[in-house]
Amino acid sequence: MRRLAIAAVLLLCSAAGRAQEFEIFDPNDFIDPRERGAVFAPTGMRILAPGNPFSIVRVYGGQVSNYQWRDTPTGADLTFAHVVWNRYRDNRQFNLKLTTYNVEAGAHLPWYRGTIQFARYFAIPTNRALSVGAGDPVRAAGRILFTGSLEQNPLRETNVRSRVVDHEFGIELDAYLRTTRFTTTGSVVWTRRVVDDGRYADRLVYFYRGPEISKFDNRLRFAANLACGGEHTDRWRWGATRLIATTSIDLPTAGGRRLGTVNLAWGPSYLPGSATHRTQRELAIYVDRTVMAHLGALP
Amino acid sequence: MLQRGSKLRNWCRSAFFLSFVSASAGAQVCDLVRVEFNGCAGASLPAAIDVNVGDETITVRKQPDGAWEGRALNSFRPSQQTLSVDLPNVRTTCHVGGSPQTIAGGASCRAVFSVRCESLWSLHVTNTLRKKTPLSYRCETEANAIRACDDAPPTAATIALVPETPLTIPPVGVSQGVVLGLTAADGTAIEYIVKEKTLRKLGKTVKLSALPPRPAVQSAGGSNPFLSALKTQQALAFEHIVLTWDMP
Repeated sequence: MRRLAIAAVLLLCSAAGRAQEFEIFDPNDFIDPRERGAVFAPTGMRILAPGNPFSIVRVYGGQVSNYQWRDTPTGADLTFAHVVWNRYRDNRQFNLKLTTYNVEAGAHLPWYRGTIQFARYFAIPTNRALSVGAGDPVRAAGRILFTGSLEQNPLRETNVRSRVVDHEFGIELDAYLRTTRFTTTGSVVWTRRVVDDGRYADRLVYFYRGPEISKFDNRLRFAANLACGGEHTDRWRWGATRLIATTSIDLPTAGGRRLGTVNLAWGPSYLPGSATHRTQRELAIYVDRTVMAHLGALP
Repeated sequence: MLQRGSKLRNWCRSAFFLSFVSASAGAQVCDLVRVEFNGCAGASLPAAIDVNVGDETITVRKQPDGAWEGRALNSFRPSQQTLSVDLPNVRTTCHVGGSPQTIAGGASCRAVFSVRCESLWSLHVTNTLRKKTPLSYRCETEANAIRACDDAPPTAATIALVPETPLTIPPVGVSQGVVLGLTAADGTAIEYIVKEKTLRKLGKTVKLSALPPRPAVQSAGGSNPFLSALKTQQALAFEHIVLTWDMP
């Protein structure tokens, strides 16, 4: 029975994708520790060799039309700035994200959000007696990601809620699964955010990501994520679907460094809970750039 | 009902006629051989080429319409023979099946062989520093790659690349890439897929660090900007590896 339950969980997260992209402009930051030279112990959870630590800071800025705030279409256009610091060490990852929004007057949206994330990676070998390095086959590999975020209360200027700050937390499982018949990846995300004093909204989402297509020596890229799931406030409403299709064009390099990447993202969605606005279209154009990337030496 | 029966009869007659015609075409015996090379228009193929059809070697000559034609000593059924050809600097498909084609208003026939081909290119890898660099290479073969009879793609190998002896990887087809794998002193693995098309854009001499490395492990994460930045940083350790290429 226990094996069946584990198999069901693995199958649930086994179609393809990496999650965390609730914001149309926030890409996936998954880096398997084996890419940094780490070697996992045969148990798959501990590591024998830590690999090189890696730190990176990236900035994003641009404009979003019909911004979708936590699965809620707002109809508002806004500009945003987003800074992300990621630290990868051993089989762990730590992220700090700061986002600010310049919203239209009267739009019930926060103007800042701060997010902390912590992830732990795993790699389970096909042969449970052997360790897992870069070239070794695995039965399953992935990470579990914990998220906590604080944002300005979007209804702060109304008499609905008087809090200044709202909070949200979540857990995400990104998994790669290999069986004798198929190989696949996928993500399952659960989040909980406060909607009123003592009341929460839960979301359970499954992410599917299609393969990235690149052209012109990888300078032009197309990618698409598909998310399906449901939200619970007074009851579960299933069938919410959201696609995020992104086209990215690398800008030229200057002084040996790339100026950045221009991204055009289109996010149509279907929301079963809304009687009048079931289909929505979100559009974003933004630039991103890596401002710092540091590969450390072995400890 | 009667009309439906009549239609069925007509259909059966047509099917019988078509099968008869196709069977007789398949059974045709030809002595004229026509070879059409597809995919290597850029390569300068000789005006006269020796091809092997079954046990016989036939010399085919270039025609104004771009194909090569020649006459066999013994007539043969095209559908029962295969053609092989060995051309310099070009990779061709092996054991190509023939098909009959009627010419001169049906008075005679010719055996048509459509041969897929592509130009070859060679990769040279040079280490510009004194330190030995462990390097592995293999040929990446895609599903629709041309399977040649003779010039086998380079087999996978691992060497310690030294400055005095640059590595020359045996020629591969232009549609194929060469996978170069490097291992840093700390055990980090990096892989590159090197293609002639990419190198042609970058110049005759290309630093390995100018190419984008690809993910080395299979995992839940695919390509993303964070992984690309990591690979770029890792690639800086191999700036001393330089690639040159040529079309033999």
